[in-house]
Amino acid sequence: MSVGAVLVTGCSEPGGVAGEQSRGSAVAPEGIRTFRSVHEPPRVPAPRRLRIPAIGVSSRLERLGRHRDRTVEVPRRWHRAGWYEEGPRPGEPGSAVLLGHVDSPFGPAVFGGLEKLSPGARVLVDRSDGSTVAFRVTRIGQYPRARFPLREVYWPSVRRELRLITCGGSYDAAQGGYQDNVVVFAVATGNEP
Amino acid sequence: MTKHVVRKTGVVAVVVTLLCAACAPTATEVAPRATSPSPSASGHDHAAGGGTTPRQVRLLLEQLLGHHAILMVRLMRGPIDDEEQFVDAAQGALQRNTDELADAITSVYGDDAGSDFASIWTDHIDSLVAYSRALADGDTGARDDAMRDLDRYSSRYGEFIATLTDGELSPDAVADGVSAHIHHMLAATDDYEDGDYEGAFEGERTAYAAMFGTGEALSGAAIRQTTGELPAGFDSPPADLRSALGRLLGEHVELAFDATRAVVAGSPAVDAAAGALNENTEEIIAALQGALGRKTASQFSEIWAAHIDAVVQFAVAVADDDDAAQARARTTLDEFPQQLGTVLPAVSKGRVAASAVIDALQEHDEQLLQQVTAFAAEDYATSHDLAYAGYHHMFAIAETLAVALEGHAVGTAPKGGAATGGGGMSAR
Repeated sequence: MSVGAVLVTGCSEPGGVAGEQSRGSAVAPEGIRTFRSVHEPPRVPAPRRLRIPAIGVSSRLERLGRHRDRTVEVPRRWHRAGWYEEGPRPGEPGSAVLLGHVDSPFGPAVFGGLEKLSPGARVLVDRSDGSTVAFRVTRIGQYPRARFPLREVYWPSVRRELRLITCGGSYDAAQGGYQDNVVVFAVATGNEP
Repeated sequence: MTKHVVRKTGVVAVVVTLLCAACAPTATEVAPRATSPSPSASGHDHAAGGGTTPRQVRLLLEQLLGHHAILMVRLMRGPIDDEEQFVDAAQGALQRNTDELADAITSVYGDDAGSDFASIWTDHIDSLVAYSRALADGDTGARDDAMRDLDRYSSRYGEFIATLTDGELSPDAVADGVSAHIHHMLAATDDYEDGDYEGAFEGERTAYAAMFGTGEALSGAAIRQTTGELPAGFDSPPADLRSALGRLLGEHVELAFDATRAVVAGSPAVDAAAGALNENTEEIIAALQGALGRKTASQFSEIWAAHIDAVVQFAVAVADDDDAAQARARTTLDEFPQQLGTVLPAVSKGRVAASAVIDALQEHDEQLLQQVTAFAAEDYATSHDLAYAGYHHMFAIAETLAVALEGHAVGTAPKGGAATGGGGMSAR
């Protein structure tokens, strides 16, 4: 396509020569005169249910925030996972954070099998519009709660990722219970029908 | 091929050299109206003691290789548009980018390696230009010759880089990577020649993004050679954030160049260019929504969109030779740095100064407006100089934005770990 031809004739015939006049005298295409840039963020549906087939998890999601001391809230029910709603929604850029208890006074809780997950395992999050976003586990880490990896979990990112958090390591009731947190890292692989 | 000896201090030198090389003239140097970028908005955080970090090496190689892809795509469109003066200017910009990449290789591997790199790198540029010229001329023989040269090139380049990196990168992997790069160039050019402008801009975006992966792989190999392993900061969350924001903002300005130039050229590619710009905007806004939440992202996106609209309207006014409309667009644009200069410091919890944001964005606007004004006057050399500086400037803005987002994260993220145990039954 010759830009020069367009300058002279205003049409899109190929094979012309460069315009001899300044481009400032060209006529801007009509369509561009009404151009409007995207000016609104995308609407990403809220998460409703977490499913992890490899360990038999299927849980509705509670909404979680922060306590006054800035620690993260945890699910009120042993058998239900929760979504930290002050962070990204699952499927949007950044690391969405889901939390669940490892056990209860009566036995294993919703994330009791989280440590058994292996890289490659699928994690599914069903959303309020009926869509499902899928993630793939990339690694699992265990960290002392006193040295929780803020950067690995809550740092801003452009990648669509997921973090699943529960407790692990030794248990010391006098020191507040479990001394470690287990974090499962996963990356989005796309939407599922 | 001569095996090159790695200089143990080379990784530090590479960025020092390139920071100077990448200092293209600012809009201030080209025209007195513009404002210089603030030093505090610099995208290059120096390590303690005045050295540079592996993270900086990675980010700069990504930046330069991404620029190569964009400049290459644009150069290949020149013969199809039958604009030889534009081709000359585009070739000058691409040569400058090649020199900067060769300087990087020289800094790490020595003069011979730098020279060898420049030579082999230029070969693929020459073959791609030959392909584009053959396509424009309808010369299938010349096109086939170019494709044969490019086929042979991939394995030759793969061997060169594998030897250079002492096997850190395999010849096949490098050959596959450069082959993909060549394919991106050919596909984007074919689409452009066919009048499939949406495909052409999709190809441009794909080619650009792919080079960031190439930059990470090459810099990682160079660093592993000198240190034996990659330091934690090389691909840490802060490094990845800067890489991604640099990629998105660098793409923003390049697509804005494409769109505004298409406006004043009266090009049939203008809608596709504007569409690609919108896709980039969607990604930027989505990223900010993930980091800052919907309310702040909405605030940002309104300001960002008004900025883009004003830049496009300025280009329309240039095409119309309408001074009053140009002045109106400028008035709208004048608000943009001030508005983000309010939003970003607040978001950053004091980590970003308003003056740094304002200065950096004023410079960005001037580069956009002046490059299209020069383009309309067919002063392609000046237009390319401004665009060259405009691309690199976006990585300084990306650093400022990264600091703002990190300040927000540090100020709002939960403290400590999670109390997600209920009784100790799972303890080991």
